[in-house]
Amino acid sequence: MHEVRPIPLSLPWRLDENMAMSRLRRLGAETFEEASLMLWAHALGRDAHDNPAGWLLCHSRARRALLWPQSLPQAHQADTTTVSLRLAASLPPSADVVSRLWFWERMAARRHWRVALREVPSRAVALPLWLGYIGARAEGRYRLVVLSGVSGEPLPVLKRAVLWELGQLAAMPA
Amino acid sequence: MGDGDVSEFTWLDSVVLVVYILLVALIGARFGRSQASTQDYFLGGRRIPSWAIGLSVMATQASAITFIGAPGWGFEGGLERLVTFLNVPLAMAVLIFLLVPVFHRAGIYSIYELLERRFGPATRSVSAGLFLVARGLATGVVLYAPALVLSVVTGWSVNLTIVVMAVLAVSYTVLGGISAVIWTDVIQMFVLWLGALVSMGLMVASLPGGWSDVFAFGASQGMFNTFDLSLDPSVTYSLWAGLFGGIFLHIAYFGTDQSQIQRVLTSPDVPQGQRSLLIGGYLLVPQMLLFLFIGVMLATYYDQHGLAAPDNLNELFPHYVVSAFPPGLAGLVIAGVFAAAMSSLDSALNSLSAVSVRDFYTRYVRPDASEAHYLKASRWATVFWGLYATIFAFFAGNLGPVIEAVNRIGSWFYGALLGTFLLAILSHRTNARGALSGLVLGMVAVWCVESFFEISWLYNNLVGVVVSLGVGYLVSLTAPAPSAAQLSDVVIEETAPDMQALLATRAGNARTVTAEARVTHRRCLGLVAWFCVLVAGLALLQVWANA
Repeated sequence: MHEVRPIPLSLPWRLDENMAMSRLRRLGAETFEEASLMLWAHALGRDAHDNPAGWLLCHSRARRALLWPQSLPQAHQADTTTVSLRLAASLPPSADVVSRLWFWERMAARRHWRVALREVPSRAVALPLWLGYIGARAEGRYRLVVLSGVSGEPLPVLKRAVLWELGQLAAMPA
Repeated sequence: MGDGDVSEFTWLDSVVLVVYILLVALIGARFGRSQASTQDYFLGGRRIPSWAIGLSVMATQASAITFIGAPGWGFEGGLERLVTFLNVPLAMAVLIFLLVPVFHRAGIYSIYELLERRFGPATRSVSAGLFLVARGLATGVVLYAPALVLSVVTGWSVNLTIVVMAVLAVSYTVLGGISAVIWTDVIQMFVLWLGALVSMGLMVASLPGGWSDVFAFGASQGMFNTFDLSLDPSVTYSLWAGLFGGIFLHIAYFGTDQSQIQRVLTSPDVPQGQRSLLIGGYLLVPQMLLFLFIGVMLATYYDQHGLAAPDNLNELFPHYVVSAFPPGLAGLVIAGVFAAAMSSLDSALNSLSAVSVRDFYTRYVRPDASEAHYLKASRWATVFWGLYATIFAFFAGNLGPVIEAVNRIGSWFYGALLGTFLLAILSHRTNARGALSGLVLGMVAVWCVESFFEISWLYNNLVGVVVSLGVGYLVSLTAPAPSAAQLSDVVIEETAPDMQALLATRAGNARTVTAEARVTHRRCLGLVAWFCVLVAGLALLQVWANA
């Protein structure tokens, strides 16, 4: 039986290839490619119109979650259709994992302490990424750099999730 | 030029010196206008090119302590102390290969931040605190040495010249931050080299036989004997002490001293940071050779003119400059001394401020303040450390030969600190308990060795590194291994063979970023080759001198 995967909302690409190359070069990467990673967005708090004040972007294999402090875009399908490497989380993280991830975010910033997770269904979101590769065949050792395609910041907290999804992708029959 | 041509520090000399001071102050003020954040103040917005950083590192090393102290060394012992610096190319290769990529990719302001991520807050606070103590004391000495020169030149009291110099250095460092530090260093680098070369030219011209007199006198006095192959560990400047002890001294100095490594963090990317160290790797030994050679030339000059050397050899070179140089040129050379002093002071003050604010103020005093507040605090911290160095400089005259005093202060701490950084990067089993134990016992071991054994002080850093590595690892076994999160800056999860194969495939099919980053190995090999060339050249000189 084939698993039915949700169509994710796409977060916008804000870092073009040249900017990404410049940042990746600073981080020591020699080769790079674009990718999108599917995360699960959980609603946080309420704004004046009772909409979610922000979203917690989770992946069951990530060390930490990401915070999206605004409303999610309604649809940006065109942004990710050209991305050849789509890393899709097969299952949303369990409630325990989400609670733990949110706990760490609250611990990291006191202003989040009073904000609560809302009990609404999570939504699939595609986060644009630039993946940089450090190392060479001659050295026999490679390293991965994960750069956000939205902010341009390195995202070491997502590295484990990206590696996991790359492994899943490689294990899938062609 | 003979004794009858004795000149004083004339109005023309004063004009040259004042013009130089104004130039430095103007450059500092220019950089002050464009600073809006602590990243601008401490890291120059990470926009500074590698060649400027490299020249700045060179200028700081050719500090007034070298400018004044090294000719005294050369006068007294010829080139024997060059072995202390001979290892610099190898030390730079280690930095380029091991430390710079980790520090730069971590995106940190203070290198001690890395220790917190790896070992926790206590290790960071202790290490940063040790740096503040050691560098703070050394900065006092750095201030004292050029003040001594100005005192000789002007006839003012040493304490007055200390205050004058401190006010100037603090002013432009407060205004311009690390950008002013680096760009003024670039200018100062050329001024101090010009001063040194002019001195050499004038000295040679004043000797009847020119260069042949220098080489004949140096060879007859055994001043070109760089290598002492004695295996006795109590011989201070043996080749082995210089190689095995000195290399750890310089890895620690250039790699774990915030005042040095902070400049490498201002580069836009890892390759540029590595490239900046190449300049020092290739040129620092020739630079030290230049200043030691000035000492040999002074010895020849004093011998031929039947002059008696001053009791304090630190005054040797300035005495000569003031008494023998024509008006204007003395001002230029003293500007060179001044340049050297400023280049060391400014970087020390900026790094002390960086560590005070980043490692203590933002963590314990005002964790939630605005960026503008931290920038203001950073400037006040620079003023504070300027005052601290000034007060310490008042007492630095009792610390013996200036250059050794600075290195000795550092060698109590830096070996153990380097050991802690090596544990953080190389060992995945080490934890906070081990790191702190290694750090403390490493320092205790250095103190014990220095107090109870007769061995060269150059071995101090080696002792500190070995003890902190050994103790750190063994004590770590008594506590749980660090978590993956703690290792994330130094250990990459993708080291598993299957993941390596996967990444190899993806990297092979991905687009190329640049060919620039692939030259690290070639850079390191170049430095090793340069080290071999230097050793061979000095050995040939020694063989020739003794033939």
